[in-house]
Order: sequence, then structure tokens, then C-alpha cells
Amino acid sequence: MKDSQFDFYSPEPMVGLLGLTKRFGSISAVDQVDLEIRKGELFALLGPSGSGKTTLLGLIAGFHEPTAGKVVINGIDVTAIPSYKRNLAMMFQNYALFPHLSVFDNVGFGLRMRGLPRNVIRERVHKALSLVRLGGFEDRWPNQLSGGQQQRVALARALVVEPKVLLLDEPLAALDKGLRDEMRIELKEIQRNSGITTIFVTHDQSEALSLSDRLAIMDQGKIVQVDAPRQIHANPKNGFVARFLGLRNVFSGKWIRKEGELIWIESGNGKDQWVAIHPDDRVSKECTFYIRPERIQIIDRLQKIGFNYLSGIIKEINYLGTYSEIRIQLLSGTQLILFEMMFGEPSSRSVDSKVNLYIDPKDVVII
Amino acid sequence: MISKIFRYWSRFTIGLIICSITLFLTIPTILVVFSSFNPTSVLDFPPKSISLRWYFNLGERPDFRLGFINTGLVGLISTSFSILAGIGMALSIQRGSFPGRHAIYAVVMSPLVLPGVIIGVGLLMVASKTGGVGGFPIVIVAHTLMVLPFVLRSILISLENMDENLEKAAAILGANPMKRFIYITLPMLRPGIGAGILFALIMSVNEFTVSLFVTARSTQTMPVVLFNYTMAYIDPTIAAVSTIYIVITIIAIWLLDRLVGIAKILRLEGKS
Repeated sequence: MKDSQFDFYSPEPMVGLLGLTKRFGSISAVDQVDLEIRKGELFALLGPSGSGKTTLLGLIAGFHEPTAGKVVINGIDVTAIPSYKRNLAMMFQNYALFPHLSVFDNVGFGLRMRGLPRNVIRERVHKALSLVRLGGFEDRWPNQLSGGQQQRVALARALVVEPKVLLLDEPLAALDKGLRDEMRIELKEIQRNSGITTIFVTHDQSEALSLSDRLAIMDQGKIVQVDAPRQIHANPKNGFVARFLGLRNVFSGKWIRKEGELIWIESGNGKDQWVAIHPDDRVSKECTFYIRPERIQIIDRLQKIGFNYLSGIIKEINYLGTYSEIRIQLLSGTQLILFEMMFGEPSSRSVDSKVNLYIDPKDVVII
Repeated sequence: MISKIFRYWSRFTIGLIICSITLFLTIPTILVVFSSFNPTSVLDFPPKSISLRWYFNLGERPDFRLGFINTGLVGLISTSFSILAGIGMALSIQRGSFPGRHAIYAVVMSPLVLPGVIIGVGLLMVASKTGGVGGFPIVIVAHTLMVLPFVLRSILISLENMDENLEKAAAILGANPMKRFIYITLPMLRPGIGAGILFALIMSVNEFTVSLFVTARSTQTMPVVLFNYTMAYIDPTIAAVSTIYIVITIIAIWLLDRLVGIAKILRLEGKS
């Protein structure tokens, strides 16, 4: 059907948030958010707990009334429209299955509220349940289902109403590891096949990066960066994003000298000096930069001339299959993480041994 | 060895205490039931023969008949009122954010701590101002006020235990506030409402102090009739009434168990 990864959605906007703000007392849970989510897109709201991502989802759903700003869905301003008229669907973190209704009645609830005839409801519920591979579970009760099955019922209950936008609140958080990976793949597949615009909230960066077409990173009620996973990973906008995405060796410092594209940076109150290549003239005095752990080279002999030659002591080695993660303490006391690929032969490195390192100035990335 | 003896004796003591408490709780009830079937006015134990004399006496006396009818009527009506009021109040206290809702809660719960005499006198004064002394309206109001704390408490606990995402889930699936209440909230409150009905009926049927002040001869409920009767006579007629009370209570609990499940009703612990 849809073979290319990108033609399944058009860049047409489906959800638009304009200056959206929600204050609880004096705290801005969501602060001046402008965001556009495209039709058919699988969009992630990523942020640490308390960053406002769940409140933002609640604003789209219509559970909270915004303090300021607008929510536009499919070209219609729905800010003043209650959630039951917004034609959305949501899967809750705790699934929120109705404990007093059977699986059939849970899944059929939305259709019943829409006043559809009984035979249509029956047909669509059966179809939705077989889509989530729970055909034959119609007469079970929520408390008779495992966590994974409950989630599938919750997903079926959301999908069956054919919503304009599907909202997922931490969809995988309540599952254990194996089931989570399985559901992740399944969720993506179902979303692809149905083409329903989907927004999901997560605090797990790997979940957001692997699942979404685009994502927004939130911090303290504000959106820090919006882009495709690969772009965000390659160009984190600031230290918060870099650290939050799990980038290692993120440092703050200030530059002290510039020579062409080369910039000398001091960090740790002058304890460390780094040389970076940065073509942009407009680097602010205070800057954040990171060094990709896979780009740090271990060399045999320290060269006396040149930049970014360092030596330190190995403090920890973690073998992680195809590579090992090595923690090094520089002479200045600063800790660096480096990844060393392993090509078959066992590593000869040992803890407490001295190593010399070289970092190419182009691998010191100023953000 | 010593600890073994100690453990044995401590177990024995605890067993003894439990047994005696249970006995002290059940013996009066058993004696009452026995004496209600006793033909003589003075209690013989063990009874020499069985008679329904006091039950017939009960049926023949119009004040007892009226008392039964009044108690049933007042109990059912005040229970219904208190359930309706309890649901509304629980929802507005738990969900609402208006100022003074904690004060309202405290006022509604006050019959638990205020002496019945004070409430009785107060209601009597209100009734005399409005010209409704001894009428059914004031009796029903009094009973509703007296049972409302129990009803409100049990419904509130059900409401607090309810997952608030359920209503959000229903809302986003297209249920308007009315449908959300009927299809989700009300069914989720069933244990609390069941417990409320049970408590309200039992409290109303047994309510004495306030009833003594607000009832007149025509609106007397059973406890008041019993009180007046014992002022004049002492015989096992009151034992017969008590036995009927016990039977009715057992039937009520059995019925509620069939309707909502007693286990569910008694699981009233709040959210930790």
C-alpha cells in the first residue's frame, strides 16, 4: 500500500496549538506553546516529568480549559468545544478501562455514545478487537485480562471510533520490557496502517526517537525543540536537549580565543581546554558543547603539539556487546565517556591504566 | 520452654477475651429472642413452653401497628432523600472547588458528634416556628439529617476510590456529562450507595433521641412507641418487637448482599 516511509502523511496540519498556556495558580504548566502536528503523523511529546507534556495532551483532549491560546483541530477552533464533541480518542497510561463493563461494552462505548445501531456496533467492535489480536475476548471482564491485553482493549476502544486524532499518554510505560518492545512495533504498524494522526506523551527518549515521525521536546512548560528524531539527535538545540536525549560528555564553558573556525573553549572553571571547529561567528561567550563518545580516539603516544591531546586514567569499563563503554578521568578530574568498538579480539584495556586520547576539533560540537 | 508456655497462655487469654466479648454481644440478643416466646411476663430460662402471646399483643395494639408503619415510611423516605442528597453533596464536595465546601461537609457530619437532644430540641423549635410540630415533614427531615453523615461518608469513599480517568475516557469517547454520570459515575458509586442505603435504613429505624422530640402520637416511630410503652408496662412485648427488628435487619442485609454484594459494601477503606 504505502511503501515509502514518508508519503503516508501530507504536510497538511491536523492539530494546531497557538500560544497555548495553562496556569495552575502561579505555575505555568504549559507556557506559550505554538505547535503544528501534521495529518497522519506519529508525533511525540517528550520531556521529563513535570515538563507539562501531559497537561498539553489534556489541553488537546479538552480536559482542561486553557488560560490563554487556541487549540485548532482539522481547521476548526475547538478551544471552547468540550471534549465529548471533539471527536478524538485517548489511551490512558493506566488504560482506564470501565471495570463494570465487559470488553465488548468497553470497546463499543464510544460507538454507543454516537448512537450507532447495534449491529453496526457489533461489527466494528469485532473488527477492532481482531485488529489488536484479541478476537474472542468480547465477553471477558477487564480484571480478567493481563496488562498487555488491557492495553490492547484500550487501544481498540480508542481506534474503533475512528478519531481525527489519537492521543496516547505514556502508552508503553506500564508494560514490562519484552512486552514494551513488542507493543512498540505493533503500535507503529497499526498507526501506519490506519493513518490516524497520533500524538503520544513519553518521558522515555528512546521510545520517542524510535517511534515518532517528529517530536517536540518540552521543558518547564515550553517547547524547546521540534524536529524529526534524526535531526534532533544530530543537532540538539541546547544543553538540556542534549543531556535529555542521553548525549554523553556535555559540558558548559566559555570560549577564550578564536582563530578562523577554530575556537578555544575553557570549561570547569578553566581546568580543561578544548578546541572546536565552528563556522558560525555568532557563538555566544557562554556555550554548551558535547563530545560524541564514539569519536574519542585512544592513541598510543601523546603528541606534544596540536590540540585536544589528553591523558587520563580508566576508571570503569562496561562491555556492551559490540562496544565497550569506558569511563576516563582526566588529569584535571573531569570525567569523559568513550565508546570503543570491539572487533572480535578481547580488549586489552584494564581499569586504573593510563590512556592517551585525541579528539578531533570537529567532534567537539558547540550547541 | 518458658516462651512456649508464655505463648500458650497468651493465646489462651486472647481466646478467652474474644469468646467473652462475643458472648456479651450475643447473649442479650438471644435472651430477648427467647423471652419474646415466653408465655409469662417474668423471664424463665430455659422457657417452659412457647407462646406467641406477646406478638399477638403487638398486633392488637394500634400504637404498635402505627409505629411499624411510621417507621417503615419514615425509613424509606428519609433513606431515599439522604441518598439523593448524599450523591449530590459527595460530587460537589469532592469535585467542586467552591469556597466553603469543607464547612458544608463539617456541618453535614455534625450529627455524629452533636448530642441528639440538642438536634431534637432545635428541630422542635424550627417546627414550632413553621407550624409543623409533630408532622411527617419534620420527622422525615430529622431522620434525613441524622442518617446523612453515614450516607455521605460511604458515597464519598466510593467516589474517592474511583479512577478519575474513567470519566475522562468516557468524555473523550463522546459521552456528555449526563451520559457520563449515568453510564460511568453512578455504576462506580454502587458500593457506596448500597452501603449508604444499609446504614441509612438501620440508623433511621433505630433512631430514638431526636424522634422523641419531633414526633407526635400520629407520627411516632417504633423506638418512641416502645419507650412510651415501657413507661407504662414492663412485659416481653418489647422483646417481640426486638425480635422482629432482628429478623428485618437480617433480611435487609441479605437483600443488599444479593443486590450489590456485602463484601463490596463493607470494603469501605479509603484510598491510602
